[in-house]
Amino acid sequence: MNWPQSMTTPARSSRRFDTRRILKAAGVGLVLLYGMFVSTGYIWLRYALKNDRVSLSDVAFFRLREVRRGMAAEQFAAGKSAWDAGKYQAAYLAFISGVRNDPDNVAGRLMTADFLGVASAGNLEISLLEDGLRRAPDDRQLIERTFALLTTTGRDRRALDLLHRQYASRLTGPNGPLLRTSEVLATLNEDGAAAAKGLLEKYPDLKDRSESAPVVARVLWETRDRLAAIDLLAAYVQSHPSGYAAYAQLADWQVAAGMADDAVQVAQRACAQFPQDVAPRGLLIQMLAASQTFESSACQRAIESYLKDLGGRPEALTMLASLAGRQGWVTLARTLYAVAGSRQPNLAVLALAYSDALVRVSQLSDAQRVLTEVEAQTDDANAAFLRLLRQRQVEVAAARGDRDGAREYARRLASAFRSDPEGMETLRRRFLREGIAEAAAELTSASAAAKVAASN
Amino acid sequence: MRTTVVLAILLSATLSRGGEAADSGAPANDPAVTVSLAAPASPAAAVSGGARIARVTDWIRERAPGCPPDLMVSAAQQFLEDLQERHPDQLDRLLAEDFPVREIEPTLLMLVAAQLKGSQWSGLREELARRRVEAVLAQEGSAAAAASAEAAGLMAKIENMSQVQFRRLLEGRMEADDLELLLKKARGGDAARPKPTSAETKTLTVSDIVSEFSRRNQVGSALQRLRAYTIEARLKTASGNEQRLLLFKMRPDRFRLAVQVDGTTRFIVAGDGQHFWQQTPGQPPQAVTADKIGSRRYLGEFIDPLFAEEGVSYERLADGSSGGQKFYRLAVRRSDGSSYVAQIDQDSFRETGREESDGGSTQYSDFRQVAGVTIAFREEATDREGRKGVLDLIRVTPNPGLIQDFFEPASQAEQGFFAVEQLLARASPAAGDSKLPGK
Repeated sequence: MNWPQSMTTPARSSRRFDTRRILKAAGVGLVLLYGMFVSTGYIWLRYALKNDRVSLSDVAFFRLREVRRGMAAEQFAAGKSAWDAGKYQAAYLAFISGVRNDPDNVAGRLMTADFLGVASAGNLEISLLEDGLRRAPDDRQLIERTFALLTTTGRDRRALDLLHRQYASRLTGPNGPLLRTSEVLATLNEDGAAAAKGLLEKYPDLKDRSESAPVVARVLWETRDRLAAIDLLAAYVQSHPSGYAAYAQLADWQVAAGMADDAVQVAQRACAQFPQDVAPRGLLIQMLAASQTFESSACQRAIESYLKDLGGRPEALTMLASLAGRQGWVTLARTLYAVAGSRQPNLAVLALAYSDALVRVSQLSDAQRVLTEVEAQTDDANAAFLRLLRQRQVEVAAARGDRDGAREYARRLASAFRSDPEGMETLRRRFLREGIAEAAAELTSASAAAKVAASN
Repeated sequence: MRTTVVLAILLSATLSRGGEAADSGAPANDPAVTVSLAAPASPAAAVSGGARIARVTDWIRERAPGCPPDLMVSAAQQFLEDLQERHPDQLDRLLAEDFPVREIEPTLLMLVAAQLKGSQWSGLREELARRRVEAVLAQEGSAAAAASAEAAGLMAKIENMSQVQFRRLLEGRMEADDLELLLKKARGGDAARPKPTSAETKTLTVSDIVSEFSRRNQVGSALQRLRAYTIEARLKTASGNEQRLLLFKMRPDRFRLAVQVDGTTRFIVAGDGQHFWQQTPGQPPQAVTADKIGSRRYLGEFIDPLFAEEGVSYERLADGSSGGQKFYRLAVRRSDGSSYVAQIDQDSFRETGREESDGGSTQYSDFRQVAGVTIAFREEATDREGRKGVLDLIRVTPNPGLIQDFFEPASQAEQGFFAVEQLLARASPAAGDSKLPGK
């Protein structure tokens, strides 16, 4: 239809004008909305979530990764503070949130793993580290930490699976020596000295790598080349004085090889190297008792100075009692138990140390009585302690020739390990080595059931 | 020795109260840390797995169809974690067809109710509470129809009796033991009944009072689970001296009391009900006869004789009152012929005081219910000459891992005890000469 121009022109002009106005208004609205979104988001992150590291530009340019990293850094710091303050629940939440927000933060992940380790959450610690390795398979710290954990907690099969599955192609890479050393160690623990020796022959370079010396020395020790093992580890201690574990291992080997005086010197060096630590002082006491006697004045003086220097620390009595238990120093274990009574509310762990000492001197019925008394006071929910208790009950019953008792305690022990099939497997092997077949058999069936349950 | 006399008065009266133990507010010890961590550190997957969660969720859906699905899953996870903790043997049977669902129904309903936060769920919460009561009644053998009718009546009674308890029931915060007691009370109509008049109270026999004392001062059978305990307390004597006391007790009659001043032990007395010994620094332990040890021998009473101990007889005396509060008076006679008078509050059935046979008396206050047992955290003793001492309990630790050997004298070891303690206190100028324990 042809409308008169006078009628159509203003109308068209008006429509154009309206469209422009609408577009302009929409644009302004969007800008305002964006501004509101950015400012609200910034205020929320900065003040509500107390994230000091977030900047306005991070929010404005949607740098979510940066924002999350900033949040994670705050959470790791908060976790550390809570941990230092003994607030484990808060620390746990902060650390886990930090890892979730910034899963690639290796330092934060390692700190979280440290925390979980201290809090006896071993399975979570391993999962956390393995997840880290999936994200950063070449991170040396993560590799070291993960395999050290796996090979020191009886999870050697898992370590080997991880090596063969994820690291098969990397065994010759930059982290190759480290990975191959872990493989040798896990093989030694899992398949025995002969298998480890065979593997070591495939990797001759490890024998010349000083970082691998502790593992190579262990293979030598296990294959009865004891003096060579001691020499190699002694050289390692000389060149790497900052790792305590090697001192303890070396001193133990020296005592076993009849070189107790050398062991005392090693322990003294460890004490000098780690003056604030409890473990080297315990090692010195142990070596002095081995070199002379427990009653010798040197050993007694070492105990006195241990108590004077370190007695104010909460772990000092427990660690000395534990040493007394392992060595069979019944009176010292009992005295420490009595002294601890006025210093800490719970004495159950010290009672276990005392029972260990009784076992060492073959006072088996007394040890069993102590364990029974402790058992009557143990909460079934305290699985970590129950494991320690039941394990001892199995061993004492077996030592007394009470096979039914050993089986029954093993059944109860399996119940405490229900959610930890790998831990149960480690213990099963220990019982096999100790010749407690009935307990091992009980754990075998329980272990299978636990694995099925865990996979459901 | 004046100190020990006061101690004997205070402690024999107080510390043998059979208290279930508890921490009076001090930080929890290591196991508690483990426990508190265990909640987040143990994902439900560790105990459950999809099949189990699905099974439990199905049960919840049948019993609480109005509950939102995500809350059903949370309740199911909570249930599985509880089951693993309390009855791990039942966890394996969970998927079996013959699993006794009826037995766990009240717990399940409680956990679901605990998930329902906010006023929008008030109707559902009430419905779940009623069903829970119904389930408890059904477990007792009531027919379904009868249980349903009785449950409704009991709910009304509970609401009438105590709003607090009613709310706890609705919100899923009432454990099975508490619910059992509450139902018993509601059925008996104790609380609904007007406060008994003095004429009515006279009708209570001595065994009624003792039985009620035992029932009111513990939850369920809490005392049975107590095998040993330690008490840390602060004693202020009439002369203004302050001492730290550590009392260790273990069934059936073991006790060990250590008196500390300035962080070091000045005196130990211990025994097993028949044989007693005591020791001071620098001296070997010395046997003490029962006669010489006097009333301290009663520290060996593991729990308050009012908890119906064997070999104790009771006689009701004329009631008394103090500050307008009436109390029953019971003469408590031990098998050795000694006796005291216990004052029991007529409303709360707490032991608020004792009248000793030598003319002394003790008043108990600051009652706290810990681990299911009511204990007095403050005791004020007055001897027959009017001198007063006050004992404040700082911490009570249940089942701390005590062993029999701890209550027996061992001269060599106990000599070492004082030497080690001195070293630990870093106040040992003669540390080099101290005689440490032998092997």
